[in-house]
Amino acid sequence: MKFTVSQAELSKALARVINVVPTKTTLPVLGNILLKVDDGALTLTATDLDVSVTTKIAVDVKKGGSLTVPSKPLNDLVKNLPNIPLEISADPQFKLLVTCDKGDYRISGESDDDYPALPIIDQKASVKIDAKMLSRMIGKTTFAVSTDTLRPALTGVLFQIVDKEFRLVATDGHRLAKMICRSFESNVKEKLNVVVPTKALTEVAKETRDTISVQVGQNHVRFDMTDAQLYSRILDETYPDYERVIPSNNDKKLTIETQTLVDAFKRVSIFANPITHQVRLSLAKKGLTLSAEDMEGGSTGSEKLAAEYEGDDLQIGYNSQLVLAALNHIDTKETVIAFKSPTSAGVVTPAEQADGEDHMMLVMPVRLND
Amino acid sequence: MLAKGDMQNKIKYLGESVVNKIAAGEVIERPASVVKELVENAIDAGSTEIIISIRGGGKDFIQVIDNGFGMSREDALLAFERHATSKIETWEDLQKVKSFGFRGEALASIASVSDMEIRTRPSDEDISTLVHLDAGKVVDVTKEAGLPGTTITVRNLFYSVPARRHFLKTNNTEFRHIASCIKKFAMAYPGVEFTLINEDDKVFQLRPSGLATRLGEVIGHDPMSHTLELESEQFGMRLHGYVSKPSFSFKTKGEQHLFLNGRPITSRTINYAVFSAYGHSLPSGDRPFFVLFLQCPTDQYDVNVHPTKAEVKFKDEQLLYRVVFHSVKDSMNTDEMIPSMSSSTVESEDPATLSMDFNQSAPHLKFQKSAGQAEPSSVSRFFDSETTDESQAIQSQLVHRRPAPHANSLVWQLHNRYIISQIKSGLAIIDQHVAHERILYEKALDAFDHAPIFSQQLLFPQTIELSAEDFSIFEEIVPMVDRLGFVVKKFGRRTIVVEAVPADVRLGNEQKILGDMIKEYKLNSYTNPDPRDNLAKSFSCKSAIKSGDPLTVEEMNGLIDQLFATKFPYVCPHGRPIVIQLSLDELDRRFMRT
Repeated sequence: MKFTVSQAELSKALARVINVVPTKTTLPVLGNILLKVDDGALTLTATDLDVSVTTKIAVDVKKGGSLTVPSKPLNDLVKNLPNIPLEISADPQFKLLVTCDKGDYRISGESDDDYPALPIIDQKASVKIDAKMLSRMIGKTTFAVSTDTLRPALTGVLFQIVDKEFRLVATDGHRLAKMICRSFESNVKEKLNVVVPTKALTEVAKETRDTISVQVGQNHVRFDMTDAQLYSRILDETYPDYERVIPSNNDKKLTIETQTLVDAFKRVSIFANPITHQVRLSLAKKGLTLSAEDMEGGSTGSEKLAAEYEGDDLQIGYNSQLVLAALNHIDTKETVIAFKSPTSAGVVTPAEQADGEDHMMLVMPVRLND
Repeated sequence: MLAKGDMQNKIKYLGESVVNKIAAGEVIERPASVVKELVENAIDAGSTEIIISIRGGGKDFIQVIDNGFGMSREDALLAFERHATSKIETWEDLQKVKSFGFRGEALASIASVSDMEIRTRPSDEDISTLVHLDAGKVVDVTKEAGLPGTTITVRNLFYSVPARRHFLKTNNTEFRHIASCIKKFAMAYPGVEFTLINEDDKVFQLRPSGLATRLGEVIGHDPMSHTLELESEQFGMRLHGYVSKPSFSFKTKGEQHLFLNGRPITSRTINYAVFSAYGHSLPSGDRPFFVLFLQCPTDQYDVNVHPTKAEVKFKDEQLLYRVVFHSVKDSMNTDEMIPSMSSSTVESEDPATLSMDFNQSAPHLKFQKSAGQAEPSSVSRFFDSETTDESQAIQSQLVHRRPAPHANSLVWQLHNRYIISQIKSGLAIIDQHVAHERILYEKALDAFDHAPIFSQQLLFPQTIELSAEDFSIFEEIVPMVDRLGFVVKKFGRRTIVVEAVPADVRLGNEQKILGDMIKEYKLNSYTNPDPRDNLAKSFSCKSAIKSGDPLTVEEMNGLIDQLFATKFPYVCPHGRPIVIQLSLDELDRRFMRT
C-alpha cells in the first residue's frame, strides 16, 4: 500500500470516523482504523460493532492494499501536521510509514483480517431527506430518549413513516418529543417503524450538507451522506404505542414568551427540592405563577409571569428539569403549553410551526400533594 | 429418705464440712470461680499487682499472689470461718456494699473442697503467717518470712467432691474460663497490674495503664479502633465506655462487657438497651461489641441475688434501659462512624497484646482506624471547605440535619459503582447504591408518618401481572405503597396498573420496582414483623440507584448532600457501611513515605 494525500484531506476524513472509535473496548482491534486503498481512493472505516462509519477520499494511489492502525497516534499526528502532502505506505509487517517534509513516522498496525466486516443492508425501505432537516429532527428528539437499558426500545429514536409523514419520536416514559417532516422521498408505501440507537444519530446529525438517504434493512440501517456512510444496528424492540398517550383535548392553553418562561423556571427551580425539582404552576386568567419550595431546606421561590391563558384555573406540578429540557428545543419567540388536568400530560409546542414540519413535546406532571 | 413411717429422728444438723461443701457447690462452680473469688479479694485488699498462676486448668494448682493489705495471724485463721468477713459488719453495710466480697463465704467454701495454703503479711508486720488447710480443716499454722501481701494457693480443687471434679471440662477449657475471668478484672481495673502464668509460662503481663490502652491490650487494638467512646451522666447514673461502630459487629455476643461500679455483671436489660440503640444499623443477627462501665448509687441495685454475684437486680430497670439506650444512641450520631480502611499488615504488633485465644470471633470488616489520623470533622471534609471554621460550621449543620451546601467538591465515579470524593484528610469512598438506599429508607418511613412522596405521572402506564399470592400482598400494602408515591390501580383480579411513581426514582425502571418490592416484601415478611419497616426496606432497596448506574457530578453531589442529611449516614438499612475513608496517612504508609 502506498499513496499520497494532503494533510487537510486526510485530517478531514479522520475526523469523520474518529468519534465512532470506542474509547474502551474488550476487542482491541476496534481501537484501530481500517485503511484501504484501491481505485484511486482511500477508504477509512471505524466501528464499535453497533455503529460503523466509512468515508472515501480521492488520493494519489501508488499501490493498493489495506491494514488497520491504532486510531489515536495516526489522528494526533495528522492533526498536528501543517497542510503539506503526506506520503503514506505500509510494509509487509503492517507498519504504517508517514513521510513528509517534517519527518518520518512509523505506526505499528495489523492486518485487516481480524477487522469486523461492514454490515450488509438487505435493503427493503429507503427515505431521502434534506440533511439539515434530518439533523434538526434528530436534535429535537434525542434529548428525550431514555438511558435505561431495561427498556431498550426507549434508548433509541423511532423512525416512522405513516400517513405521508416522516416522524422521529423519542421518549423516556416521563416526557416525549415528536418531530414530523412532510417533505421527503420514500419508497415506503404504507408504514415504516424502526428504532435507531442514539449514538448513531448523534453522528448523523453532524452532517448538514445536501440530502441524506436512509437505507433500512432487516437488522441494520445505513445513512448515505455526502462523503461518508454510517451503518447502525437497529434496536429490535417494539416501540410503545406513543400515539395513544398524546392527548387531543387539552383545552387549557397557556401562551407565553419562551425566554421569559425559561428564565423564570431557572430561577424558581433553584429553590425546588434538588432531587424532584418540583415546581408548581398556578394558571389563571391573570397569568402564571411559578413557585417552588424545598421542604427539607426550608427555602422557597416564586414568580408571577404575564401570560395569555385560556381555560379554567389550574394547579399543576412539574419536574422543572423536564420542562426546561423541552423549552430548550422551542425555536419560536412564544411557546404554547396545553393542559387538561393536574395528572395528565402537558403538550408543549412552538407558537407557530415551521413550514412542512410539526414539532411537539409531552411532559408528564408530578402530583401535588394537596 | 422421707418414706412413710420413717420420719422420726431422721432430721439432723448437717456437719460443718458438709455445709461448706454444699455452699461451695454454689459459689465455686469451676476453677475460674476460685480465681474470681481470690482476685476479688486481692482487689478488695487494695492490691496494685496481682499474679495468677495456673496448672492443670486450675484443677491441680491455682495461686493468686497480691501486694494488698494482708492479714494478721488472727484474721488469717478467722478468714476460713463461714460468714467471717472484713468487708461488712452490719445489715446497713450490706445495703451499700462496694467491695466484691461481703458474705464471707468464699474462702471457707474454697478451703472445704481443696487443699489450701494462705501466706499473708500485713505491711505493718514483718513476718508472714502461713496457714495450711485440708478440706477446710486447719492442719498447720506457722510463721515465716515473706513479702507483704497475700498469697493463696489452692491445690487439688474438688478432690473432696469427686462428682464435681468429674464435671469439669478439659484443662484448656477450664483455663479459658479463667483467662476470660481475669480479662474482665483487667478491663475494670486498668490501674492494677495483672500477670497470668499457665503451666509456668507467662501468658500475659498487663502493666498499669489507662482504660483505653488496657482495653486495647485485652480486647485487641483493632476492634478497639472501631469503637465510639461514650460518656453520659443522667439520673445519678454515670455511663462510660466504648461501643462498636455498627460496621464492626460480631456474629456472636462474645465481646460484651458490662461493669457495675467495677464489678463484672450481666444484665439483659442493659444488653437489650445497647442492642436496641443500634436500631437497623446492625446487620441482622449481628451483635454489637461493647465495654460499658456503669456507676450507680449502691442503693439502686442489689448484687446479693446470685451466689456468684454475676446477676444484679436494679430498682428501676426501665430507667436504666432509657439511660443506656439514649447514651449509646447519641454516641452513634457522630462522624466517627465512618469506617476507615487500612490493611492488617500495617497493624503494629504490640507485644502487650494478648496472644491467647479469647474465643474472639473474626470481625466482618477489616477496617482499622489508622493511628495518626486526625479525628475531628471527617464529615466536613467531604465538602472540601477552605477553612476549618467553615467546615466545623458545616459539620454542625449536618448534625442538625440541615442539608449540606453544594460545594465544589471533587467527586468521581468509580466503575459506576462507588463515588470517590476528595476530603481534607484523604479520600472518602461512598457506595452509591447503599447511600441512596439509606436516603430512600428514611424518606419512606417519613412518608408513612408525614408527607407522602410526590408522584411523577407516567406517560405509559405500566401493567404488572401478579400471582394470586402477590396480589393479596399488594392489597395488604396498597395504602402504604400509595404514600410512597406509587399511583396504582387494580385491573381485574391479578393485574395492577402503575400510573405514577415516586418522583425521586430515577427515570426508567419504575415498572420493575413495584413488582420487585412486592417480592422482597413477601420474602422478608417472615423475618421482619414490622410491615412498615419491611416495606421501607424493600422500597429503598429496589428503588435506589444500582451499582452500575452512571451518575453525573450533580447527581453525585446531590446524593452526598442528601446522605448527610439522613439520621444515620454511615450504615445502610441492612447494616452495610456506606462510607469508607482512606486517609493520606494511610496512603503515605502504603507508599512507604513514612
